[in-house]
Amino acid sequence: MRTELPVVTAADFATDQDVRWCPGCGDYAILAQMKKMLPSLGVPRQNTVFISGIGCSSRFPYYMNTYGIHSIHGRAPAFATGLKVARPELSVWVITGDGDGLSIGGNHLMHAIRRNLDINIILFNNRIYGLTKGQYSPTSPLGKKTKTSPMGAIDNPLHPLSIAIGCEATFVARSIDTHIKHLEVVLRRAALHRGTAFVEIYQNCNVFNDGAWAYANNRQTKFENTIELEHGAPLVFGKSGQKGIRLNGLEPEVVELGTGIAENDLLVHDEQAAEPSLAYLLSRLRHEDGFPEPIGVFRAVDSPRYDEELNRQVDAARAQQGTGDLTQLFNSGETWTVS
Amino acid sequence: MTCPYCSAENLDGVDDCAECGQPLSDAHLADPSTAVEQRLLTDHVDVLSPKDPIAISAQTPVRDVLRMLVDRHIGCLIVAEQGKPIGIFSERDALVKLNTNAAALGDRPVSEFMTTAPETLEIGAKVAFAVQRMEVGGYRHLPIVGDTGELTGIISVRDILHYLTENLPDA
Repeated sequence: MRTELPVVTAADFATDQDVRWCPGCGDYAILAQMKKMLPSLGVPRQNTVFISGIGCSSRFPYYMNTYGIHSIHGRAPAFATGLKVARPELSVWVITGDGDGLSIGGNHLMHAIRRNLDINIILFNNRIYGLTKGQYSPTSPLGKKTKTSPMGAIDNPLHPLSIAIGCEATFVARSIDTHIKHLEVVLRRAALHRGTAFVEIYQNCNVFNDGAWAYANNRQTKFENTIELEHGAPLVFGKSGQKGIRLNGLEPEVVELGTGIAENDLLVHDEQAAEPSLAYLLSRLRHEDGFPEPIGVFRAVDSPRYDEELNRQVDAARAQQGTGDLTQLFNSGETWTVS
Repeated sequence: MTCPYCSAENLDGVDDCAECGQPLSDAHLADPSTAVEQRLLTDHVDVLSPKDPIAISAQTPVRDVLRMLVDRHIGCLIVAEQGKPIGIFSERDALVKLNTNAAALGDRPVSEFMTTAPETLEIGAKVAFAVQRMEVGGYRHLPIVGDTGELTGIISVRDILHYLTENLPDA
C-alpha cells in the first residue's frame, strides 16, 4: 500500500491575518522568502515556532501559520531558550529587530548566542525604530537626524554581526530583503545549522528610513558595494568581477584584478575556520570606509549545543538520583510559615 | 503585471514580485483609517511633480545667487558638482547667514554659505517618507535624485501642502 505524504507549500504557512506593515515594507519580502523556504525543511508546521519581541518585525508570528509567541520587548531569546530546552524537537525561530534585539534585549541576545542553543535568530535591521515612528536605533549611523536625534545621532552604531561573532556565534550570515534568491538560501542554511544561527537582514523601512541600504540593493550600485561570500572562494566583487579584497598585513584592502594582482593574491573565504578573527574582519568591512559589505555565510562551525548539554545533565541526574519530586523539593530545606 | 515597488515585470497571477519579493496584491492589507493615510503610504514622490531644479556651481558669487532667487521667484538653489547635489542654498540661508551683510559678502562663493551634504530623496520614495524627513529635519525643500545620485528634481513643502489639500476628503 502506498501512502501519499501531503505536500506542504508556501501557501500552507500563510495566515488569514491582516498584515499591519506599511505597503512596500521590506518585511514582506522576508516573510515571502521564509514561507517559500520552510516547506523544503520537511519540518511539520506544528513543530515550528516563531518567537518575537516588540517592533514592526515582531508581528511576524501572526503571519506564519505555525505556533508563535509575540513576547516581551527584547525577551524573545529568553522565551526561545526555555522552549528549546523543554521541547528540543521543535524548530525555534527568533524574529527581532535592531532595536528589540540590540537595545532593549541586547543582554538576552548575547547570552542566547554564547550558549549556542539550536535556534535561529533573524534580526531585521532597518536602522530605525519604525513602529514608534522614527527614533534612532542602535544601528543608526552617526549624524542620522531623527525625532530623537534632531541634531544628528552621536551614538556610535552597533554592528550586529560583529557582536554575534564576538559572542562566539557558530553560524553568522547576512542577506538583503530584496535580494530574494540569496535570502532564501541564507535562511535555509541557517535552518540547517545545528546551534545558534544568527542572520542579519538589511531591511528597508520605506516610511521612516527609506534608502538606508540603497547602496547595497540599488541595481546600479549593488555589485560594487556588496560582495557575495562563497566558502573556499577568493573575495571577488564588482559587476564583472574585476575587484577583490586582499590582506595587507592585518589590514584589508580593495584591489583591482589584472594590475599585477591575480585571484590567488586575494583573501580566500573560509566559513569553517575555527578561529573567528577573519569572520570578524569581514563583519567590519563598511561601505562608508570604501569597502563592499559582505553578504552570505560568514561563519558556520560546529560546537556543543546548550539544549543538548542541559538535557544530558538532566538525564544524568535522573539516572543517578531518580525522578525528582517537585513538591518534596519545594518543602525541603529551610521553609517557614508566614502567619 | 508591473511591480509597484521595483517596476519589474511579472507574470500575471503571481503572488509576489520575482525581483523584490513584495506582494503584488493589496488584498492582504488592513484598511487604512483614512484616505489620506492610504495615499501617503502608497503614493511616490513623483505624484508631487517635482520641478526642474536650478543647479549652480560652488563658486557662484552669492550676489548672483540672491539675484536668481529674486528673479525666478524660487526658495532655493542646488549647488551641484558633476550633476550631483553637494549643497543647498535657501532663502533661509540668505536671511540667517547673510542678512544685512549681503552687500559686503556679495563676491564670496556660495559654497561658504550653503548647507552642505543636503538630504535627498529618490523618485521612488513614498510621500510619507518625504513628509517625515521634512518634519524631522525642518526642511522646506528636498532635492530628488536618480539611481546614481544625479540631481533630477526638487520638491518643496508647498508641494506637500498642495498634495494634502487635494487629497483631504470633502467635509
